[in-house]
Amino acid sequence: MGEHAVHAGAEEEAEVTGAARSSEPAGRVIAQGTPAQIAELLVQRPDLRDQLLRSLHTRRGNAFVQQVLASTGAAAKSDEPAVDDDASGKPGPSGSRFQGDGTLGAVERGAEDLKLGDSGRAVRKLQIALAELSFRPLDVTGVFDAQTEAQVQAYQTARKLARRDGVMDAATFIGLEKELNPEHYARVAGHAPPGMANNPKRQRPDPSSPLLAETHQLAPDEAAEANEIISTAKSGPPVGAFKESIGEGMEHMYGPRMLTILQARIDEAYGNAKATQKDHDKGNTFAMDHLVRLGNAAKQQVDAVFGSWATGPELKADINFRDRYTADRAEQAKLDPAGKVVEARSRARYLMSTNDEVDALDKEHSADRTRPAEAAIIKTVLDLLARDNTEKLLLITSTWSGSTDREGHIKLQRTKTHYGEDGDRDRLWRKFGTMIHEYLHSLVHPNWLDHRRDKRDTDPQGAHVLSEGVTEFLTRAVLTRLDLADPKLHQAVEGKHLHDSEGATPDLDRSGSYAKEYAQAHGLVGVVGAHNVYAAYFLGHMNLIGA
Amino acid sequence: MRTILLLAVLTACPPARGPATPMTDCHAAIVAFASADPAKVRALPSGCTLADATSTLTSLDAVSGGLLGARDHGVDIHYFSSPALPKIRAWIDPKGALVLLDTEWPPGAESAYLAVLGEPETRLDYAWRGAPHPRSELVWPRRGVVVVAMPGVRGVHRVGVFAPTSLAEYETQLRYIDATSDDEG
Repeated sequence: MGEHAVHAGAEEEAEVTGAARSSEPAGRVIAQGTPAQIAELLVQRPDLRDQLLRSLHTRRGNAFVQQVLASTGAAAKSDEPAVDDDASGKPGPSGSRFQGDGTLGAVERGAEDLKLGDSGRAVRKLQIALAELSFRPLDVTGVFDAQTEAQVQAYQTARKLARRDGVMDAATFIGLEKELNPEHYARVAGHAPPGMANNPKRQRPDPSSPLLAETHQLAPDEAAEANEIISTAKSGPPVGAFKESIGEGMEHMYGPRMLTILQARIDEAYGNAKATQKDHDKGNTFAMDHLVRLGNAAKQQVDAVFGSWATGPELKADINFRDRYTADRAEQAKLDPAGKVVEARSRARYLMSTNDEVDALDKEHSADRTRPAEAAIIKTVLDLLARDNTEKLLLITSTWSGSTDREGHIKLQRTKTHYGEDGDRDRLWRKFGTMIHEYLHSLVHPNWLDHRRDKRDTDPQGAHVLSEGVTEFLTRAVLTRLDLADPKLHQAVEGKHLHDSEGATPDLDRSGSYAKEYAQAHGLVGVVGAHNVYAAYFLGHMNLIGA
Repeated sequence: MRTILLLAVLTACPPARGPATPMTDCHAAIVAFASADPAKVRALPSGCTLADATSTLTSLDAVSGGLLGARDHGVDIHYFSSPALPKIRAWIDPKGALVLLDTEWPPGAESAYLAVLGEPETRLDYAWRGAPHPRSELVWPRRGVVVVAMPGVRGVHRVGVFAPTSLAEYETQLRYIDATSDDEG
């Protein structure tokens, strides 16, 4: 069942009125009935629902329509699917926060408009987006009511669009989509009330926080959609019966194929790890005090955008900021053989959960890694990999780019490149991006971490989106606000590698980092809104993202 | 003569301190902890403050934030050292109370702590470096001591002292939970 985008355009008005007149009881109810009576009529006559709503709006006004819809809400919602609208196969807009929404895909292609009287999830997403762009007041109701029409019209007027009638057509929608970019997300983060800077981290969410002013409570189907859009199953069709083998021989079996894919991934990562280890051994590393300055510059940029939501302490070497390779190798040295296998297994599991080839393999075998049969095979695969690649996996872990623990302690690699000053400068800017990402991790609320942990077994991709996708989403927002002409920023990042020529623009492109998870996080924002995501991430109000 | 008498009275009366604990108790407990000697480990008295840690240990002049148990608010972590321990964390609640003193990788074996403290009241699961370590958090809540010693890991990972309390109170107010996020970068 597809989403109901209920249409009742102006051209239908005469017919509607006629229909209502031709059915005297219906006409009388519309003209004089109570909200409950009209709600009952709407339930009895779904074929006339759209027209009756339009007529009702004309005769008795928007406020009354809202009362009627409130009366019918429960019944109407129970008719809606628990998840998205695309059983019909309508493609959604790609690469935007509205990805996967078939109705909005149709609007984008010009196949449909959304207008007064329509309702459904697509309308709700548009209301959230318009409100984020400060087209308010706009209640998130899922009903394209007079208030929504007025704000669409205000948007069209403000943006000087040709059409200014309050109908969400393709041109209006595409303009809206383009505005909902990382720069926008940085800007709306600053909508926090004055005086909220240095909001102390709280373990228990504070329902009276003024930062919640622009959030909204999720309807049950909205929460379901929020979970679905980040989940493992989102990118594929429903998983059927597990096919352990898809042909003759070992090379067609799920377990051996998984083992081969992950062994190749380990060998590839190990090659890079060896190179990093060699650099450490030769002292081809950036100075720690330089990286501390770079880290604090990253903190400063994040605080400028999200400082109203949460901030962390200044970074200090060997306190809350350490060289990852040195720190990890020291801790790994304390592990006995059994402990090393446990840690190696943890890295093997991480490599599995971030591998596109594994996702493709799952699809081929209709595998759902949370089901007992598949989980048993995965366990064997990870045990074997950890046993046979223990030292490789430990080295991979210690040469990983960065990490952040629950206390906000960050570890970062210090290795330079082999490409001279230009190469090292590029790497420093990449580390700057990594530090923004890591510092954001350090600000995450413990409820978010707990929710992610709970999700890890039942929905590994969902957990990964919460961990890395959303953090990357926030990272890219911060990157849009950098003043790249600021010499202090260049000095902090580049240090003694400072470029001596003017106009050197650093490469801050992170499109290759967590691309899939970023897209899913953006989709989550499309369903629940940016403020809901911020309130969950920084303040721990997990119900606002459907937890 | 009156001046001398006044001087004698002033010298005999120490300056007024916080209500509960004499300086010497907190000082002694912190010194014992800082010695890293399992035989000396003991609970913090209640009522210790950041000032007690500052006056006893060498400050590393660094503060970060941390989370303990299910407290409403985060807790400040102040960093110190002693001749035996390069890094000691003093967990200070929003009211300025020293609620936990801990360190990582202290010298001494798990068996040395067990010899002094006996069997722990409970052994909780502990997470470290992204992996679960069952029954590795040894807690003596009524003796104000926690020791983390994981099978497969050499030495004691962590030791901490706090004011004696119930196990439930320990879990909601004092328990440290590790979680790490990795970046592909």
